[in-house]
Amino acid sequence: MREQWRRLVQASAQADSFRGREAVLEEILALVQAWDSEAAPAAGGRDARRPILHRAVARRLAAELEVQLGRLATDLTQPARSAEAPVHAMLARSGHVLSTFLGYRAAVRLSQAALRLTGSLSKR
Amino acid sequence: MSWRAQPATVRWIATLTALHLGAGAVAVAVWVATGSLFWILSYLRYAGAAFVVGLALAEAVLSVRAFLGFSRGDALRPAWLLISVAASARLAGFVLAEIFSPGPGLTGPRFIAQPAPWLPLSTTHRAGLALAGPVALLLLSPALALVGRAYDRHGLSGELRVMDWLALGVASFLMVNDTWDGIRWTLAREAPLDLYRALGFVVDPLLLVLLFQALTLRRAAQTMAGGLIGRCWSAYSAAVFLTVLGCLGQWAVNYGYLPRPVAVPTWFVWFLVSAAFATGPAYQLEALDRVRRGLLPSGWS
Repeated sequence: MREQWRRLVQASAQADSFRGREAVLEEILALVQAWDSEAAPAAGGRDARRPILHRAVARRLAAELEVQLGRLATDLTQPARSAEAPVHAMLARSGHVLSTFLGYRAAVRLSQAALRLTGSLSKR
Repeated sequence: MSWRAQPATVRWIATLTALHLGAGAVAVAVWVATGSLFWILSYLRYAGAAFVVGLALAEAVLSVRAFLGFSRGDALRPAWLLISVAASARLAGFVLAEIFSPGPGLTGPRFIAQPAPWLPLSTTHRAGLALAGPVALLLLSPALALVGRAYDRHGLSGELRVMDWLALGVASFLMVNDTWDGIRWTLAREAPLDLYRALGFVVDPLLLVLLFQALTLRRAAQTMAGGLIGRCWSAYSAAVFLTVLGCLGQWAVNYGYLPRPVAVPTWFVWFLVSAAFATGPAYQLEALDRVRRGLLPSGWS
């Protein structure tokens, strides 16, 4: 997982600036989704609830990002909340900043916690 | 962020600082009312020393713990390493200067090396002042540069505004005067340029560089206003700004540009410097601890 997170951060670091990162966002999003689905238990009941879980976890993740990143979190979470998989989108958008200012370990831990709560990541 | 939402460590530091400054105000009031120096001297010698040493210890412990939160390859790991070493230098310096060799008489806290010491100081005291002052600042400057570069990489670097440039201009003018006075003092007394005095001459240009870095960092941190990370770097920015104020106050009092009663607030600035330096890593550590606790319900604070 750590290696995948490193790839994600490297992908987001390719753009010249944080605000110009939109171009690579799709690529990062695909990485997070692949990471998420790799460990998915594929339980039928849970799959049906995933969009609901995603929205619930997205609210908690947005609150946490606001505590950590303050005003910057507004930029990172507002467009993502309306996305189909808002948790993925938020992690993709905030991953690079979190990794820089909190370190890889903390960024991965936060992502793991969020993905685990969506019900798709097995507890390990 | 409301008072209750502040990290517990930050609340402790703020409460301790308020109590300490309150006690200082009482000591000054007693001095003014009775003319007795006992209370103000005791306050500076014992409570002041305990406060700066205690907060330097807290700063060092918190900085090292924040550094340990980063792993190899992380962008800010070297910055936190430098900050931890700088905090340790401040702690060692204060222990040497304030505990093993307290300064003479009613001088107020002298927490930074100066090229022209006005009172005879022991070698231990001078070594302490050099460690807590220029050595710590020399370590802090590259750390802040690394943080500034990290903000820059994310396109979050702050543009200096007119007021910032004005502050830099005023500080530069006063610092040049400070250095010039130091040179004149040294030449007039034919004082040898030992290591302590040489480091004293480094302080002013170094503080100007740090002030520029602090102002830039403050603007960058405003992009994360209200967040723990933004508050961490704002605290470091405030610490540098207050150090510049304290240093200029020390110079103005020493060379007679400020009358003696006005000197009192310049002593208290150094206590705020200690508080600001301890608050920075406290915010960073709280950010890391929150992640360790996992995602909390959205209504929880």
